[in-house]
Amino acid sequence: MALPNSAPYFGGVAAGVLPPARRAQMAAAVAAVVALCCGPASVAADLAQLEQSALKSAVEKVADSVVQIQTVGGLDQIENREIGQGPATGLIVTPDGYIVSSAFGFAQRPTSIIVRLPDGQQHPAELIGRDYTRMLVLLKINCDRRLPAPAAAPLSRVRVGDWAVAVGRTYSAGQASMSVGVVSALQRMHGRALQTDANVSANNYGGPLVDVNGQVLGVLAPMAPQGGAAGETDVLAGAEYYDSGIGFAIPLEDVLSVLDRWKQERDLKRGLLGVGLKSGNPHATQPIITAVWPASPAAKAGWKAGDRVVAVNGTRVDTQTQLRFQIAPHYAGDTLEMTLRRGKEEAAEEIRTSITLADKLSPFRHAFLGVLPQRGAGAALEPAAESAAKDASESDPQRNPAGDEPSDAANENDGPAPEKDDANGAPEGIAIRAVWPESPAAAAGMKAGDRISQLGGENVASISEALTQLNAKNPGETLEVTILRDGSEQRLVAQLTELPTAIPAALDLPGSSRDEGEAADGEPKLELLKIPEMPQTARYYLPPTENASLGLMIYLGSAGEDAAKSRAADWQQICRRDGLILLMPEPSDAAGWSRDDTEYLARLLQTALARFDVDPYRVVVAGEGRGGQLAYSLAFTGRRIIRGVVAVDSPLPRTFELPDNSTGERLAVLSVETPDAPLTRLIQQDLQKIAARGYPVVAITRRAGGQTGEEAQFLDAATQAKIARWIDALDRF
Amino acid sequence: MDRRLPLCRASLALAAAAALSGLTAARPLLAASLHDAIRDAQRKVVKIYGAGGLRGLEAYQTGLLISAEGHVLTVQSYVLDTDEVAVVLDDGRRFKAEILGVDPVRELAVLKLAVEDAALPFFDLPSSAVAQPGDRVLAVSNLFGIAAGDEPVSVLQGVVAAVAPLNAWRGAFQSAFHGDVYIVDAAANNPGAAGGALVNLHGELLGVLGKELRSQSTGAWLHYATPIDQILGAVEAMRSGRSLRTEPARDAAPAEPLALADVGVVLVPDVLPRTPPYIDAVLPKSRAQEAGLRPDDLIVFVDGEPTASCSAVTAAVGRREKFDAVRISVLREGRLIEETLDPPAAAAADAHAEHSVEGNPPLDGSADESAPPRPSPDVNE
Repeated sequence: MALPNSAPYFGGVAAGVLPPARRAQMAAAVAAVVALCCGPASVAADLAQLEQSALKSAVEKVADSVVQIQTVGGLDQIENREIGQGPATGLIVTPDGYIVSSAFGFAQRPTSIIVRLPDGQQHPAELIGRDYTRMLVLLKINCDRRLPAPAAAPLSRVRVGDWAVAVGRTYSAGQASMSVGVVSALQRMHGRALQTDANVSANNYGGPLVDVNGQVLGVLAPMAPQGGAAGETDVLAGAEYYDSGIGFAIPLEDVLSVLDRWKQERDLKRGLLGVGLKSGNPHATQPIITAVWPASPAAKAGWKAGDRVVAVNGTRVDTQTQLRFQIAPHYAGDTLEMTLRRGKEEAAEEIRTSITLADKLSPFRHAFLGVLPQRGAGAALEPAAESAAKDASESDPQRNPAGDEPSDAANENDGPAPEKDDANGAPEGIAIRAVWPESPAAAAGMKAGDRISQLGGENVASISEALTQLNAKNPGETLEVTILRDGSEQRLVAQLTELPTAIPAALDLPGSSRDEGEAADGEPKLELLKIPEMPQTARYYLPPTENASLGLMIYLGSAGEDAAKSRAADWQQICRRDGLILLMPEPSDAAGWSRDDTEYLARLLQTALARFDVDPYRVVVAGEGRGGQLAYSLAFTGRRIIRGVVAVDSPLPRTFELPDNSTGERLAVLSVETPDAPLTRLIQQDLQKIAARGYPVVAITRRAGGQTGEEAQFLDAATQAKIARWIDALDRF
Repeated sequence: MDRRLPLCRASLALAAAAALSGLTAARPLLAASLHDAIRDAQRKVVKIYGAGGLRGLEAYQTGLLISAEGHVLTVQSYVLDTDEVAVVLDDGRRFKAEILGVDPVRELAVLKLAVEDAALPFFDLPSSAVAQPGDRVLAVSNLFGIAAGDEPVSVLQGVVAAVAPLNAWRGAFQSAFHGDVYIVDAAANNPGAAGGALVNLHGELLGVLGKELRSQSTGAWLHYATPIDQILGAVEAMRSGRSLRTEPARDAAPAEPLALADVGVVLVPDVLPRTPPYIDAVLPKSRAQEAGLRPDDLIVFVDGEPTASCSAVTAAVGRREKFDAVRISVLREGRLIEETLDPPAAAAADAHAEHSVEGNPPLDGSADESAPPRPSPDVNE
C-alpha cells in the first residue's frame, strides 16, 4: 500500500520554517490532513513513524551530555553482594564539567574514576560528594572546552503517561542506548523521584530519563520502596528490581536546585528531627511525639513528648506518612517551619517552631529514677511478656521520620495499656521493692514500701506507664513524682540520672517472692522444648511458681544433656529464689554455636514467651565464647524484647553493625571476663563501643585459676551470684 | 498495536514535527498492514522440541525457516542433543529434523526438515534488513513454549536499545561470539525464545534471538539478537553440511605471551587481593621508558580494558603476543595519560644491537626465534 509522502514532507518543511511555538499547531494540522486523506490505517502508519523519529531525536538531543564512566579499584563486594565492575553512565549538568551519576556505580568507593566523553576524550574525575537522600554522586572533570549541559524538563508540566526514554552509555562508549516507556508516576519515594516503566538497570543508572523533546526529566537511579537505615548497602537497594517496569529517576530540576550547595557541602545527608513517634500504622496514625532526643533539632526547637505535628512549611500533615512526605525531600541543614499542637484537644495551643534538620543524633540514654518495682500479686499491673513481644515487632519508634523506616507496622496495639483495675480495689500505683542506693529516688527521699502513683503529673499503674513517662525525659532533667506512703500523698521532685552500671549488693535487694533460705529439693527436673520442624532440642528448668511472672534466661552454653544438668544444678537455687526460668538450647552443629542458629533461637524465644508467663522486664540471653557472640547478635537484633545480654569472654560478632540505643528498648549489657584472657583487649574495646551507643554496660571479672577441664565451663559461685543480682535488678527504672 | 499510543499522542506530535525534517526521504514505516507483516513473520517461525525437560531445562526452542525446502536456522543447544528433534510449523505440520551443521562460536545450527513440496514460507537471509538504535522491532518466538500445535508463535514489541558487541561491557559474559548484536528493549530472550526472529515493522528479518545470557557482574539478564549479516557465511557453510570447528577466539592464548618485564614495567608488590596497579619502577632503556611511563603512574587501562589491580594488569598484558603493541593508560597527578608501547620491532632491533655489543649471542637467537608467529620484515632480515 502506497502512502502519500507529501504529508510528512509538508510537515517537515513547515517545521523547518516556522518558529518553534507554532510547531505544535502545525503538527496537529498535519495529523488532521493525514486523517482526512488516508483513513485510519495510514494515520497509524504515519504515527508509528513519527513516534520512532521523535523518540530517536529526543535521545540524539541529550546524547552529547551522556558520558561513560569507568571506575578502577575499590571493594569487590558489600555485605556479600558482588558489585558490578563495569562502566557506569553519567550526565553532564554544567558546561564547566560537573557530572551527576547514580551512587550505584560508586558503592565500591573506587580509587580512580575516568570519564569518557562521547567524542572519545577521556578525563580523570574527582568525586565531589554524595547525595545520601537521593542516592546520587557528583563528579567533576577538568576539560578545556565547554561541555553540553542538557535542559531540565519543567516538572510542573510533566504528566503521567508522557513518553519517557531512559538513556545509558554502558554498552558502548560511542553510542547511547535507549529504552522507551512512559512516566508512570510523579512524587514517588516520599517526593524524591519520578517513576517510569522504561527499563532501568545497571546498564543506564546515572543516565538521563528524557521526555519526547529531549529535555531531561531526571537521573536514573535504583531506589527501594522501603529502604533501611542509611548504610552502605542502601546504594544498592532497589537494583534487584531492574527492568521490572518500575524504574526511578531523580528530577533534574531538583538536582540543579541544590547543585551550588552540593558543590560546597560535598555530601548531602538525610535530615533528622530526633523524635520518636507514636507507634501504629503510619498511614493512619497522627504524628504524635513520644520522645525527644537530647540535643536533637527537636529538643533545640523546644519540642516535647505529647506534641503533635500539624503542619510543615504551611502544608498540613495529618498522618506520619504525610509528615514523611514533607521531611524526606529535605537535607540535613535545611530549616523547616513546623507547627505543633500541645495540650488536650480543645485547650491545645498551637506552637510555631523553626527547626533545622541534623545529619546525626547522639544515641539515646535512658533516664533513671532509681527504684525497683515490687513483683508478684498486687504489685503493679503488667502486660504479659508475650504482648510486649508483640509491641516489639512494631516499627522502630520513628526516630528518624525523614528516613525510610519500614512503614508496614499495622499493629494497632499502642503500647501496653493495661485496664485500670479499680473494680477489685487493688491499691493504686507501683509498689517500690527497693530504692537504688545513691539514686535520684534515694535523694528525693523515696523508700521501699512506698507506692508511686504519679510520674510527671500522670497516673501510673504499671511499669510500662512509668517507662513512657521516663522515656520522655533525658538524664539531668527533673521529674515530678507522687508517692503514697502510709495512706497519704507526697509530691517529690527527682533529678534523673543515667541508668546505673553497677551491680547492687545483695543487701540492697530484698528477696523477691521467695524465701531465700529455702533449700532446693534434690536434682532439678529438666523438661524439653521442641519447635516443630526444627531438629534442635532445648532443655529448661522451670522453678515452682506462685502467681508471679518469671524471668527468663536463655543460656547458650555447651551441648549435651549432662552439661545442661550440671548447669541447672548450679542455677537451681537462684532460679527458685528469683523466679527465673533457665532455658538451655543446643547448637545445630555439635562444634558449637554459629550464626546458622540465629533463626532457631529467635523462634525458640517466641515459643518460650508464648508458653510461659514471662516477666517482660527480665528476659535475658547469656552465652560463653561463641555463644556469647551469638547472644549479642540476638540481643541487639531483638532488643525490643530482650532486656539483658550476658556475655562471658565474648567480643561482639566481627561483622556486626551495632545499632544505637533507642527509646522503646531497654537492653542492658553485662560482660564477664576471665582475667588475662587472649581476647580481653578486644572485648574492652567492644564494650566501649557499646557504651558509646547509649547502652548501660557492666563489666565484671570472674575468678580465674583453679579451674580445669569440665569445671572451666562453669562459672564460679560468686560470679553466678553477681549475674543473678544483675538480672534480678533489670526491671529497675 | 501500542498500549502507550492513546496516552500521549499530543505531546508526541509536538516533538514529532520537530523531528520530521530528517526523514522526508524515508519510506513509511508500515508499508503493508502491521498485522499482515506480523502474520507473515509468524508463518516463518517454527517450534522445536527435543531433549531436556529436567531440572528447569526447557525441552523446546524456536527456529526460522530459511528455505522453501525446509532448512531451519536455530541455536545450538542441549535441545538438539537427541535423535528425535521434532519441528512443528505454524500450520501445525510436524516434521523430524536432521542436523546439517553447527557453529560453536555463534552457537547456531541448521536443521533440515523432510518436506516434499518445497513450498514453505521462509526468511530470505541475504535480503534481510538492518536496524539502528531506536528502531521499533518485534520479537517473534515461542517463549515459554506457550504456543503449541498449530498456534502461531508469540509477538513482543520494543525498540533496539543499542547495537554493541556482547563482550564489550561489564566484563565477562559467557558468550563466545564477539561481533555486534542488537540489544533489544523488550523481554525478548526468555526460555524457549532462542532461535526466534527479530523483525522490523515490515516483518523483515533483522536477527536471530540468542540464548539467555546473564551478566556475571550485575546479574542482569540480557535481551539481544544476533544480526543476520554477522552469520550469513556461517549459515551457508552449515547448510552445505559443514560443521564449523572454529574455536572461540577469546580462548586462543597467545603463542608467546607478553610479560610486563618485556616492556620494562615493574609494579608495586602485589600484597592485597586488589592492589592498585601503581608502577614501582621503569627499567632503563625499556619500551616503557621510551614511551615516557614513570614510577608512581597508576595503570587504569590496558588497550582500553579497565585494570583494577596488579593481577588484572598482568593478565591483560599477558593476553597479548610478545610482539604486539600495547596501549597503556595511566593516571599521573590527576591527568589521564595514554601511551602506546611500540611494537617490539624497534625494541628488538635495539636489543640486537646492545646484545651484540655485550656479546650475548644466545639471547639474540631466541629473540629471532620468537618472531615467526607474526613475522615482521624488520626482524626477519
